Amino acid sequence: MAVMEILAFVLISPFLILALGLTGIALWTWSGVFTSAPVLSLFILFIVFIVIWGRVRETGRTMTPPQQLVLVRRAAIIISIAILLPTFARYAVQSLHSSLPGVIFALIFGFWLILWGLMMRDRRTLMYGNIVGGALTVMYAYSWLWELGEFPRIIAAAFGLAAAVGIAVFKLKDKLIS
Amino acid sequence: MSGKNVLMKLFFGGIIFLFAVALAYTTANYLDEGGGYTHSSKYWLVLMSASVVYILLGVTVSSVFPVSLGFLFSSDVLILHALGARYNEIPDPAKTALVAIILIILYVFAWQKLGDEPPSPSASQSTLQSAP
Repeated sequence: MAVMEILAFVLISPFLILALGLTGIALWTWSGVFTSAPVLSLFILFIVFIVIWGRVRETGRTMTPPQQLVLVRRAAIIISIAILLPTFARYAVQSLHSSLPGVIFALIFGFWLILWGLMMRDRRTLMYGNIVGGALTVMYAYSWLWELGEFPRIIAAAFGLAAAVGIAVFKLKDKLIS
Repeated sequence: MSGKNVLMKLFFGGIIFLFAVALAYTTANYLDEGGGYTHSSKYWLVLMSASVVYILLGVTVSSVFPVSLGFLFSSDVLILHALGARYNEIPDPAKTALVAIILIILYVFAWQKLGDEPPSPSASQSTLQSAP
């Protein structure tokens, strides 16, 4: 059974490596948005991998090799989703010529991802990927909105306030009532 | 399945990977019109064509583990090389579609294969017994 699990992992791994490779390429070009130094993106990837490696080593002592492989697979998917989601939003915004509706679409998309992640119960891989990816998408959308001028800033602040109140009410409803 | 058998499969997968990559690059270099450090569009076209053929072969022979592994990993190398070299030249709508396709496949895979395991019956039983 263990060998079959390893074989199954190896067969799915070409696609995961492709997704991680695309993530790396996108992160490399992404670095031009926030800084001119692509070294920063590599540094972030390096830190993420160190954290995951430490986590695998820490929890891996009580796990069998197939379980460790599943953990690595989960980590690869979380990283890929978390970085590819804001990348998708960025390309979508650029496809719409960086217009205000496009940036507002990215903002709504980011908040929807966070909400979807918060609502997930039995799929932690997607939950973490959605929350981190949604947060990065929201940060990206805000950086764009801030550049667009005074009125978009009002939209940004109002949307952020409404979303924060909505999420707080949604997640803390039981605690507020009890 | 013995460990020796797995090792042999990995070895042959590696051999197929190396030869597949070598075949694609030598063919692309032979047909390249620019030569040297500047590659023509034909070079990248050959690499992408080879990667598509390798993916089809890898999926077709998925029951033969080393052959499938070798072809799929070599197509990874070719696609990532071509993407890395010409990523900025791809138009934004195409990039959006590419990232969307990768994301959809990741979501489908994570949704179907990586759900959290339900607590085992023995664990939940012991929890019930220990409850007051």
